[in-house]
Amino acid sequence: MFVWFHLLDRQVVDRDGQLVGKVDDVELSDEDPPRVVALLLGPRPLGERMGGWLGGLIANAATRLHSESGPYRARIPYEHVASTGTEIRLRVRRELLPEPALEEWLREHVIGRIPGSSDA
Amino acid sequence: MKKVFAVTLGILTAIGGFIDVGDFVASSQAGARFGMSLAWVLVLGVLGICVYSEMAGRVTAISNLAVFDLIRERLGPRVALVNLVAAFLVTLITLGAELGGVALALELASGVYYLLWVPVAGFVLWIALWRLKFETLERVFGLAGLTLVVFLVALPHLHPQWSSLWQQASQPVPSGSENWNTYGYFAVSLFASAMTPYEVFFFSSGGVEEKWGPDELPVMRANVFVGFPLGGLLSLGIMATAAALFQPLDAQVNSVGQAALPVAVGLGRVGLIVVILGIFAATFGAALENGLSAGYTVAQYFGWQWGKRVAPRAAARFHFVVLLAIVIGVLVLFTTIDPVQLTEFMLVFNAVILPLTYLPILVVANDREYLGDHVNGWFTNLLATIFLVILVIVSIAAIPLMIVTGMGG
Repeated sequence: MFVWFHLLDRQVVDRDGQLVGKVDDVELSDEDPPRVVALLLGPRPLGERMGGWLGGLIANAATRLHSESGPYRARIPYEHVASTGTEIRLRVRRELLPEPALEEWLREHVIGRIPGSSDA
Repeated sequence: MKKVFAVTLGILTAIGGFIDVGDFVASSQAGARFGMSLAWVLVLGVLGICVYSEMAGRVTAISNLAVFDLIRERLGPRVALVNLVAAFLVTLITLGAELGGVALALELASGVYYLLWVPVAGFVLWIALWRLKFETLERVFGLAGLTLVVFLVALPHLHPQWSSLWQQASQPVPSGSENWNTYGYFAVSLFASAMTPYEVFFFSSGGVEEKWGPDELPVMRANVFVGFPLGGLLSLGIMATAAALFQPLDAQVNSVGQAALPVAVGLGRVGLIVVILGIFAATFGAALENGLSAGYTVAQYFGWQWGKRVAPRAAARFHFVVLLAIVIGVLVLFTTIDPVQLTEFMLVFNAVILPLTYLPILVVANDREYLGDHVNGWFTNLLATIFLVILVIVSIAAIPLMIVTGMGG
């Protein structure tokens, strides 16, 4: 019943072990007892869950930074979760999830333009 | 045989990588002013970093999580964010201080003013982090840092009075004209230099980069329990040479050149060349570790892709934070703040954040969900708890002591 305490703030990795994000919040069903419907990832759910001025600041900054398509807020349906433990592993690949706008912007405009950025 | 070689290489890297600009400044200043009477603090600090690094390494090997992952999971997003801001700022100051050490070593070698070397050092640092593999970074500078063993070689050539060094070490009280406040201030600096938080950020994240598993536990333990104490021995050597040369003259150490002087006096020109190389390697290696740690802490808090295993374009946010940290480190030095003074500040702020870094490691190291049968035994818990009390005392005392003594006066 307190399953979300074992989900919140844990690392989410995709099918191949690539890092996706942290479980910043969870979406619960209306049932009694409630069950976890989806994992929410991104600075906006993080800020909203934290609350207070600090949380407000994060949620606001996230909203302002990505005004075009809305702030990055991945909602991962719980069916996609393959296993939970000290990390949460998904059944899907990271590429199928919406990409964080900050990562995309920095890759296209800064990091990707530096020679050698494709070499591991 | 291959195994023996790997273990030996790891231990040598751990020894050489142990010393950074903080150890260098704190040990030689303390040696010059208090002789060996603060040596016990170094011994205590080395024991502390061994206990907590072993725990952090074990957690990483079993759960594949690094220290800042644990901090967020255990302290929650709010407290962890405060922790992140503090750790990140301290890492930036530390990076600035290490880069200052690199630039001063280059000034000693070339005669060209250190501030001209700062942007060069910053650029080369970034190139190294961008292009070189993790193992290469760790090995090259760890092994080159071993040249600081020259302090131990130089010690007998300074003809110290062994009996008086030993007597100072066995009497942990301020000597001569010094008082308890300055004694306490230098004790805090020395302790922070041994237990600097970036060391565990880097150590545990490095474990993830090198894909440690349960099989690596014995090698990890050998590195920690043999490598770190021998690295601490180098710190003691720095302290002892300063005690032998400067304390009888009542002279203080205010520059990196003065800190290198005992080796030059003891071993002449060859010694001076080796010690400059050693200072360069140790500070450059530590600057690399701090640059990466800046990226590790932020990326691990937010869950971003991080590390040198993937191409930079697959971890754009991580590499951007690393780049930003280096730029800020260079800008800090461009304020023309004296790098030695920056190092003194850096040690005080590192002391303040000690408990925030180490408490979550202790909590998780007792959690069966993460570690299964590898949780702490009672003896480790006893030691770790004693150290946690010490860390809290050091953290609370650091700023008042800095103010009362005017940074050691």
